[in-house]
Amino acid sequence: MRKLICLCLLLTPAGCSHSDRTPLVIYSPHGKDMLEDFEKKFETANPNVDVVWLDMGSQDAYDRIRTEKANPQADVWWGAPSTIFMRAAKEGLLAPYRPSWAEHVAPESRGVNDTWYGTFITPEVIAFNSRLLTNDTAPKDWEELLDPKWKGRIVLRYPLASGTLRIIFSAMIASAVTKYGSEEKGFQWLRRLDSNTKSYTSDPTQMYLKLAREEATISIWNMPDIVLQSKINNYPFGYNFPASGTVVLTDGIALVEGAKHLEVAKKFYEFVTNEENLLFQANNYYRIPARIDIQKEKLPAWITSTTYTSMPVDWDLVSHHESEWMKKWDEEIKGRGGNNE
Amino acid sequence: MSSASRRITPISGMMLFAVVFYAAGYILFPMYALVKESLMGIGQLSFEPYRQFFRSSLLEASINSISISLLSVLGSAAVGTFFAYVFTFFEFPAKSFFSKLVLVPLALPPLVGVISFLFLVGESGMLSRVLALLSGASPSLFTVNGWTGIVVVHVYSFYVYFYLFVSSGLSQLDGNALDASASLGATRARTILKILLPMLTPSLVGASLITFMSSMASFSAPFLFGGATRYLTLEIYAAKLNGESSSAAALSILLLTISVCALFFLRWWQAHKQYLLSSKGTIRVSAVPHGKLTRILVIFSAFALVSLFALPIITIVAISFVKEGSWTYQIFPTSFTGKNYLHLFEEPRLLEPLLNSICMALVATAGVVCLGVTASYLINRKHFPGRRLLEVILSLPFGIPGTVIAVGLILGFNRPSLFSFDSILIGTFWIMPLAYAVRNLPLLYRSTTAGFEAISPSVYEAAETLGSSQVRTFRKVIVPLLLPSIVSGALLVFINSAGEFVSSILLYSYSTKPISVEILSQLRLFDLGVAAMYSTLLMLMVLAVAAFSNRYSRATIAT
Repeated sequence: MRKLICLCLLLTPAGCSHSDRTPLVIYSPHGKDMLEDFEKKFETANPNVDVVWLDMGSQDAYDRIRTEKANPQADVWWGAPSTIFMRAAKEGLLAPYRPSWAEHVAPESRGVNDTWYGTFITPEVIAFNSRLLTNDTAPKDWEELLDPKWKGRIVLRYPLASGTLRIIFSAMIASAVTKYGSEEKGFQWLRRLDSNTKSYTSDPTQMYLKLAREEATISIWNMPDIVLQSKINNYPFGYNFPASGTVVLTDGIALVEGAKHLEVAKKFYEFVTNEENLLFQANNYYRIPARIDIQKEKLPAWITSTTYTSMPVDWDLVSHHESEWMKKWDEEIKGRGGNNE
Repeated sequence: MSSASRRITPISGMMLFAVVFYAAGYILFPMYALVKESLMGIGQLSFEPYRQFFRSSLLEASINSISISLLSVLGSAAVGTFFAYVFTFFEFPAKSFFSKLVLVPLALPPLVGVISFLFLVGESGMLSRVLALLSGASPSLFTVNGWTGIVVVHVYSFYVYFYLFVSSGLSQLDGNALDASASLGATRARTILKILLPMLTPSLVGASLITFMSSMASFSAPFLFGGATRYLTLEIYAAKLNGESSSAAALSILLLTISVCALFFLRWWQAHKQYLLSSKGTIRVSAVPHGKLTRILVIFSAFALVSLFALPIITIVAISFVKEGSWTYQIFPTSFTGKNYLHLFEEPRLLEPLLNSICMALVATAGVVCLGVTASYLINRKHFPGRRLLEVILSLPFGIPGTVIAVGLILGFNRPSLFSFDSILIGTFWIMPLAYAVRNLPLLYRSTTAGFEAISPSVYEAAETLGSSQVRTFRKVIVPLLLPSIVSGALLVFINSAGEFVSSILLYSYSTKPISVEILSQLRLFDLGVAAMYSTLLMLMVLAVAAFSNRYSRATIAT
């Protein structure tokens, strides 16, 4: 025992600590490959900076930044749906910054008082296992997902933890409010979707796996990830854009209020959103740039050739009610459809 | 017992101060911050967060949590006690290898354990698919999920508590009592029921408590395996994710209350069943006489169980060699690669999470051993007011989900305070070992206390009568006798800390990323192979530590 204690006294925290370069801490859901690429790119351009990224879901990142408010750990928050940024801005979690390209984005890609800006446009899709279904046999619109023949064939990410599904679910309710003046039609759709849903997975990976391994045939997710998974991992995934119009969300970037390395953070902000790097992200990671000043000819063919209708959504309404709606879904709808595990 | 030895002396007074400071500063203070958040979170005093207790979905969640936890205790007790009994009283080939194998589920961080189960008995799991193929039935017949799924995973993760506690109880058991019972004409069953079980009561109660509390606080299993089963920890998580921190705090307090009730109930129950045996001469472990047929049957079923329990481990190791994206609709993965491991040597940076975890777990274990043994000694051997209360407070954290402990620490230590020696702990190195220590001190406390309860007071009464000072008695008599309990407790603390996930994920910062968080990141990033590779490394490390502590405790006892 004395030996053990001596050993531990020797192990001071200094033994576990790092280099003397300026650390720059990024919270981001963009995935290891893309984050590693930009860590290297930025460090090459700024050798005195040590880029450290923590990969986490956008809802988790929001929760973490809120928790750390008294002693912020992150500098840059790269990636979350606009509605999450809207709420974070209201809670005073974001530091205002006006990027050099601020003029060149659509109004819905611009946060109040420059708190955040849009980086990517992400259309949501109905994803399916392409060994079992084709674009023709798979559901082609939101309503078709409710068909009894898909009962027990749908797998979804657990929506409370997923920025993507929260937005889709909330958008369905918001559009019901706009169309019919009440939330009820939207909840009805969610209730029927729940009764067709086989299970809710705790992370995207489990969802991909269940889809790839034929435990389920259909899911709802964003297009870039579905394309990326089928290219990188050869998973048999295909997708349809819902015909009546799909939810298109704006993915953004922001500086964290109270960030400890604000100047370097601004540099990083500009760096990952300059034209060259947006094109790199489009070519390698299937991200559609939100900046509208990039010439069409420079964009990869998969963007220019893709056409979809977007669903009109009142994003302010979504940002305002999302928590309340998701709580109601969790308490009253989840698993009540009768077909869940 | 002489009342003099139970009085508080200046030395034990200082020890008591340290323990009380710890209990007040690192258990009560964060909990106070939590209660404050639940009542004052929206800026003014409000009981609104508590109104949700009357929701039907919450009632369902509470009932599920309690029932599943009780089932988990029963299952773990059956399996763990059986193993402890077999490994103590039977001799068979490769026994020491198997006795270590039995410990390995501990090394699977809950998250990884759950995932290996998904790969094994999930709907597209290997075992489910093989059984379906053999029988011609649908794989869903062999799939465990929902309630069964959670209980199975819990039993798998928690039987080790019973195994360790009961083993250490059995190793201190006086074989003479068993022989006496047998020679007085009692049947084997009667000997086991009337002598063995009562003497094991402290061990069984300790392990039941830890298992019940761990099950109540379990997160990964219901999260990944539960389907739509409502569970209290999931409700807390959902509330927190939804940004309702007051409501999450209120739910945490509910969970805490249930666990505290369980703690009181078991304490009360144990108080009604105190057994102490005083031994003369050396304690001798002897085999309970068994017939040849029983022997063969018992050893055979132990082998079968151990092999069954090794399957998830084999699954994880196998997956660590699977090539990404190659395993979809096939029963077994088809292409394998050593790439995941080779990367580790090419990029030393990849080893960092493992080193971080070892470092933080060691610091936590050292702290827990010092404080836990001191606390156990004071509470079991000294008279002072509030003794039982102190014990309850020290054991509390085991009933609190890791998420809640982490949130409590965040709320308590995101500003300077007396207990953080006037600095902000959030974002520093120290907050992680502190969280590990707070979460795991009850483990060491319980195992040490079980050790204390098995020692007859006459042993140190004798030492004191012979003129030994209290300090000397503590060092030369109590510590050596307790060593097996301390070592097995410390082993648990180290292993739990090294693989801790739930509070780490909230507390880590970029320079203290632990291996469990890295495993989750890899899973999120879809690198199942790398995640499995890290899990394999973690298991190897635990095996090494277990082997070391085994040898070390044996060597010390021998001297």
